[in-house]
Amino acid sequence: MTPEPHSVTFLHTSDLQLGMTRWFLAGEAQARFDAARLNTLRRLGELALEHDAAFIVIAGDVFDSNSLSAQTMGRALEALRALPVPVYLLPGNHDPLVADSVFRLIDVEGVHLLGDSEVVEVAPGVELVGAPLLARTAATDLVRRALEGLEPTDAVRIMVGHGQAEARTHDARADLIDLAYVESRLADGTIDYLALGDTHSAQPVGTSGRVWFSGSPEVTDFRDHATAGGGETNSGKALVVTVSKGAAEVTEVPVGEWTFEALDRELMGEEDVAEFLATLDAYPHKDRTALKYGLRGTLTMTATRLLEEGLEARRPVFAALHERERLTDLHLEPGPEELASLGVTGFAAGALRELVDAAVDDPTARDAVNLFFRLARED
Amino acid sequence: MRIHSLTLENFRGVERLELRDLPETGVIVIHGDNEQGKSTILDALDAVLNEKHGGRSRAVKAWQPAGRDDSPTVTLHATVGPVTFTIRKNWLRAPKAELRITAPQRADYTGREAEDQLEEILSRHMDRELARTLFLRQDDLGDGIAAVGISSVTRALDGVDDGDSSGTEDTALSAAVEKEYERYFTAGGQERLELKEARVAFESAQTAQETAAAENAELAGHVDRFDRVTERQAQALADLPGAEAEEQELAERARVAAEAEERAGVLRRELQLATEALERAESAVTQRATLAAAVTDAEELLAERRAGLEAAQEEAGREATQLQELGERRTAAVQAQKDAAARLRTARRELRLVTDASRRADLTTQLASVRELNERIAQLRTATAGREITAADVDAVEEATTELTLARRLRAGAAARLEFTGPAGETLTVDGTELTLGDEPVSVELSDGTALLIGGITARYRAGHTAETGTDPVAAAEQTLTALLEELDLPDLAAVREAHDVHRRATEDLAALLRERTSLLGGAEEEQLVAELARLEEELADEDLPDLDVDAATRAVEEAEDAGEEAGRLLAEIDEALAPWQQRRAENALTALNVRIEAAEESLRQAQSALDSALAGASDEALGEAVREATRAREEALAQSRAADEEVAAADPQLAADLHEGAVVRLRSLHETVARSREDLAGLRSYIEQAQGAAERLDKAESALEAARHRLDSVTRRAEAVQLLRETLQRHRAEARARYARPFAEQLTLLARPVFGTDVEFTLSDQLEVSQRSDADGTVPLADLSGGAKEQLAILTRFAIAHLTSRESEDGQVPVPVIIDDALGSTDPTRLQRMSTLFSRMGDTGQVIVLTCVPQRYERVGGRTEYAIEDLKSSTTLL
Repeated sequence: MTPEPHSVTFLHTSDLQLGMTRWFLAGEAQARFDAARLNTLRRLGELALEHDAAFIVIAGDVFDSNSLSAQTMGRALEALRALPVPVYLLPGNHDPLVADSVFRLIDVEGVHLLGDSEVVEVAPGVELVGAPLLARTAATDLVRRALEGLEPTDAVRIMVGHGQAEARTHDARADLIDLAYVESRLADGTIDYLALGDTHSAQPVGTSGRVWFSGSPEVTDFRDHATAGGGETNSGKALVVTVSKGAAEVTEVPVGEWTFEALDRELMGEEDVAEFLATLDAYPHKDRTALKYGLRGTLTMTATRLLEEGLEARRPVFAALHERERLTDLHLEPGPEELASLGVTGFAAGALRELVDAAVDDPTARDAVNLFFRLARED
Repeated sequence: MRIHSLTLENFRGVERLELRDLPETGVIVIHGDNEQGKSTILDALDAVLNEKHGGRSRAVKAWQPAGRDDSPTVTLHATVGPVTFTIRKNWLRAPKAELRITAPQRADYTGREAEDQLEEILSRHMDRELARTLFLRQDDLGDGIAAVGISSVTRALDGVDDGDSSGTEDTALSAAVEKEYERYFTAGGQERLELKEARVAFESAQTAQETAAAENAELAGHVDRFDRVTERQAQALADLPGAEAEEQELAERARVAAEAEERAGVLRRELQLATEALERAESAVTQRATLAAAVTDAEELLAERRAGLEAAQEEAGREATQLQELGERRTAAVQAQKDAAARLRTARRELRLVTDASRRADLTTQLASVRELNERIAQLRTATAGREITAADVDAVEEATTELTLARRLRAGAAARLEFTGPAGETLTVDGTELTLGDEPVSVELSDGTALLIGGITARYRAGHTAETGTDPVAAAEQTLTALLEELDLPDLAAVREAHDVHRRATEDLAALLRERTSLLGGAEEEQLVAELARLEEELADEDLPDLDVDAATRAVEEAEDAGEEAGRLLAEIDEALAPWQQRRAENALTALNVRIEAAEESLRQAQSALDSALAGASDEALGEAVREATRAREEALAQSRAADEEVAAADPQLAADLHEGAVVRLRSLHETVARSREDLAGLRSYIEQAQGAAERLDKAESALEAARHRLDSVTRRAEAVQLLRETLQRHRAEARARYARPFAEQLTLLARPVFGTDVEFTLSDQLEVSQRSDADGTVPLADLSGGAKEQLAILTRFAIAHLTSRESEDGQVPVPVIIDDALGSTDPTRLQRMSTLFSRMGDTGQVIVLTCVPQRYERVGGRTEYAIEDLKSSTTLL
């Protein structure tokens, strides 16, 4: 009698990078961000219960680095301790299993370390095998090495790895995961699912449907509407995976609460400015939103002031709102009536004219003109 | 502004003061003594315009009349711009403000509103800066007024210059820019506040990041090292069993090799012994042969030597004979020489004796002569002994004699005389002296006592008393002469002369004798010759004198000398011949040969003896046998030794020992590695624990740095913008101001010329303050001008400003009254005169209010209105 095909449901996540700092988050925003990241563990616990997950797998970069402060470590341990299901941690490139590894400090029931490539039976008929990073950089394809030590099995076996499967640049990398090999081992039943970490957006790899990056459960980098790749487009998710022998069903569920977005606009007049400001206003959770913007165009004084005042007003509300200097190129062209309305005559007018002319090329002159208008109008 | 009326009540020391119906233009002179309220009027004006009715500051309280709790009140009716109004304010008690506007539209306000409205009117229609200059607070008739801060002035100057906008003085904007600038920079351009903080924050963030990075790098180092050490330890542990096994195996091999080596050593020694034995045996044989040979050699040598004996002996004999002969001849020659020497000695001796004797004879003769001479000399000396009669003595006696003669003659001359004539031959005696008469009369001198005996008659002359007293010259002369003669011990002059002559002659003779003596002595002293003679006598005393004379003796000596020479020469010849033989070569040779023969005989004896005893010990055959036996034994030992050596070479004990040593070292190293690794790991673990959190700290530091950089950039941007704006504004303003100076100076000069002279000129600063005045007499800086000149200048400046602003205002009038508070106190009457005309002119275009104690100063000002303070103060309001 053939045994019933075993199937197990678990949560696949990675790249929590607890302890990460973002420079553009000022003091209190950073603290809230830290809390949010930690909170994802709690939410994962809730999701695990919700979806009947037997365990949680974190495929690498659990921590942002190996040498974290006692506070960060302590709170992380608390969060892990509070999980309702067992959790399996794989050392990644941010937290490799080296001498100072944080994992050695964890002695919590229900928290397991995949510190080698030995098969671990997590439940009858369900096995996990890890391909942990034992050094800061991998010299070979660790996944392949781990696979080579295994034979096909009847049990449902899930491999957990951390690294890139396709080269993002043209450099040949020694540690690139050989996808073809993996798919062949999927086909012959050595493993049934490869849970990967390292990429921060959730996405499948290859065509088997059984190799996935879970992405980071909380955003780490900007989604960029302007550039081709788009930046981090699909983070803030975790994967609910139901695996059986030879098959896997994967569902993306949202976990994260923060938003990082990069904006790009061309501003040619007050209307454009108004539209841009309205876009900013539209973000629902500004305190959990970090925005950076690149602006190009030519504006009158009024429009410029509108823009600057608008930004000044909104900046404190957002977690972060700053200019992308490399992508900002605004020109100032005061209208003649604007100059006249100031009512400056005499030498002040002469000074203003000089600055306006210089403002075509010189951003400092542009700012000076802007300042002039502000001060003159404040009289 | 034009003031229409002003009323003060309970203001300072003034109960009530009313200025009413002031003309719209013209000079208004308010005069009164000091302390009567002139400056109070100004204070009241200032108060009503600038002090809010609710004010309770100390200044405000000071307005209250002393000791009374009344409300100071001021009412002003004025027109400012288009607005005509009346403002009334109470302070302190029941403070109030009431504003009534009558034009252009009626309006009434009270309290706060009134204040606000008033402020609105004033700021809108009055140039405050101008007011400050012309209108109020004149206690500072100071060194200058910065006309350039007054926008009315500059606007006026704008009109003067036909060029386009040369400079509105937008002080509000400048102030705003300045204020903005101060947000980022100090007056000296140093960063401050926000900018400085941002920079400091950035720099410390940099430092913090560097520190964190260093810490983190150090931690990473430790972590890497930990991994490496762990690996090394594991490797060492893995290698340990293999290393132990290897060591044991190599130990065994080394032991085996060592044993083989030992054995080889033993055999080598045996070989050595056998070789030595063989050598000894061979050596014995050799020795035997040597001994035999020695005997043979000795015999040969002996024979050889003996062969030469006879010849040597003959040679020696010949030599001896020769020596003998020559020896004898030499002896004879020596003797001959000796004889010759003796002969010479004798001859010399004889010569000496003869010579001495001759000398003795000579000396004796010589000395005899000398002695004779000595006697004669002595005689002469005796003769000349005693007192020498010198020429001087002779002269003295002659003189004395002459004196006497003279004295006598004189006496005779003077003396009485008796002349006797008579038959010849008759005699008479005078003083015992017989005189004989002759043909000639005999004169007899008579002196007292002269006794004449003539025949039997004695006549004694007795002189009468004469005048003469004293000595009798003749007596004196006689005494003198007698004395001299006595001294010389001679009777008379002739004797003296003779004595002198004799002496002289004797002396000459003595000298001659002495000379002769000296010549006779031949340079020597007599004593010397005497001594020599004595010596010779002594020497020759016991001698036999040879019978020779000196010449013969000399000859004998010469001959003896010749003989001696000859003998010497002969001896030398013989010595020369003898010399070579004296070495006795042949004899020595013979002796040597004998010695060598004896030696050879001895050698032979010894060699023979040695051989005999050796033979006694062992026969020749026995020795040969021993050699054979030893040879065989050695060959055997050699073979054995070789075999053992081969064995050793195969085992190579050195290599085996080295290999074993290597294995021991390796084993030890492995143990050390394990132990040290343990230690290192413990240490590293501790470092790593201590550094916990370093990565996170670095992360945070980097974020903080990035944030600080952004902030600094942002602040810097703003600071640069304001810097640029300020600099640009300042530059433009400076250019504009530079253009003011000329027209303002012109205006001022225009007004000043009537007062200071037609060639006066002023230098202005860019603030349009007068810095110096120049005229025909030179240039004087402002500070050095006289008090009067400064006063005048202050007023002229105000007038210039007022003039310019009047041109600017729509109705051609000065926008604000010019107030002069008791100025011109130091001005001389001439100047005063001139200033007066200016006052009048100013009065044409606006109100000029003059407060003074001395109204006469302004007598010449036309169209003026005068008010006396007392009149203004009267409690009944006028009209």
